[in-house]
Amino acid sequence: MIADGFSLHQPTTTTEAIALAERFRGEARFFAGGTDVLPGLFQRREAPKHLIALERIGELSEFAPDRGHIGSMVHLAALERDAQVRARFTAVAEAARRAASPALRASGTVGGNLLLDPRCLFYDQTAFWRDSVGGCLKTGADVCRVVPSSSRCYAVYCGDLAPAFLVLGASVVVEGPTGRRTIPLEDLYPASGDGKSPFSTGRSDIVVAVELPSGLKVHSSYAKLRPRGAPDFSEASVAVALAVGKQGLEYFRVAVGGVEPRPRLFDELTQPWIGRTPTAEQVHELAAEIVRRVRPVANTSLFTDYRKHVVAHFLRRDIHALLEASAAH
Amino acid sequence: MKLRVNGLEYEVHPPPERLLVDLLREDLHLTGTKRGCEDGSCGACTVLVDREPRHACLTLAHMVEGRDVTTIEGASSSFGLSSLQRALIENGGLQCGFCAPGMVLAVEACLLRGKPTREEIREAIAGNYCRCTGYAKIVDAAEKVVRERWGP
Repeated sequence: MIADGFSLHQPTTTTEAIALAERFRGEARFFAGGTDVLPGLFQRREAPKHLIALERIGELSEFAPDRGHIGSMVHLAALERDAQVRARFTAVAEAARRAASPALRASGTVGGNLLLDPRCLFYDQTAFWRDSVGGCLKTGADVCRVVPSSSRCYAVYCGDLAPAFLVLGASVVVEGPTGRRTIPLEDLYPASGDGKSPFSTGRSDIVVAVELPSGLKVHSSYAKLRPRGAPDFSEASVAVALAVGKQGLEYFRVAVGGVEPRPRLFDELTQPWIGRTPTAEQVHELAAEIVRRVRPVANTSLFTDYRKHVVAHFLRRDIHALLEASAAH
Repeated sequence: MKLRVNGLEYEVHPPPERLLVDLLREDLHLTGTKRGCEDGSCGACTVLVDREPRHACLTLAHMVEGRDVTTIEGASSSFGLSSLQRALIENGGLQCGFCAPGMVLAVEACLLRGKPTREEIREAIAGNYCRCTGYAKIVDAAEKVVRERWGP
């Protein structure tokens, strides 16, 4: 049940939507599929006075995978089923298929998934529960319940699509009060962000679309750790994309999600491999080095050491499989 | 706003915060749709919107303006229960029945997209909790319908 009433706005252009967000600044929030926002309203994690629904903005539902264009209001179910996405952007189709359940994927959108609110055992609770422990950094109290010495929020970014889009070199088109800009997807998740404010976008910015490089020819994969095979949020995600040519690797990117407040690319560790092909031991060592650099904390249902262990396993397994598939191609 | 529910056209005037599950249960008195977890885990409120499964508790009523909604009341007809509902009864695919409305519609959505494999049926109900049956009998019932409709 939604305790607090709100006004619902249903603009038909991005310009109109942004003007509404500016007019009701501080009291408004955009609304896409609703699968992340509505539980937040039920649990009173937020109480906006104005919801600005993006559904009627036709441009946001444009879906042209042949030229790598995916509108932000495209549903996850569409990504999962599209033959071109499955063939050319396999990691994206796999990530969409592993997100939530069929009904949530029919409502949930690409933009909503990219901007999924980071999650924490101490935050995704009812107001009664949160108040009984005295709140946390993310709800405005001055202490983190997971890492009491920390001044930054450790809520985990669990979106499934981001790691997959990151390894494929996606950009996002963002429109705000000052106009449109296209930024690399990694810039949506700045290193300076935390679990409370993880995104570089402002409250009046709309993610219009994701653009994938259309000429890209790589093999890619997405693996996700979750307690059950059903609608659970990621406890650790690994996306890999690579291409092997005559001179060894021509493309090699790895991203990890579900362990920290932001999804992370590890280009600094994979780029040195361009022009070479790692042996099994070298893949093993690369996976170990990536795991040394990720810092999950105990704010999800599975143990942190286990989650790190699984990240290493996913990396080794999927890099091997893709190296073989790409070499055989 | 107008919408179609089980083939009938309705004109309703819900407040902005009205959820589809409340519109159905409280305003249209279609109480077959169950309210469960309110966070997308249990699937008890699953209905079809334009042939796609949706959680009625995570859908604002205004989001289905002009859409075609099917609830459990529309899954059967005046001629009796659907073949899936009959198969669920014959296979012991329901006990307490609370999950059944959502479960039936989740499977129907899957059947609407063509002949599913057993694995695809299992994936189709991945978002629907049943605390009684252990799922096997539900999947058996769905497979029985698949055999009837498409052959072995």
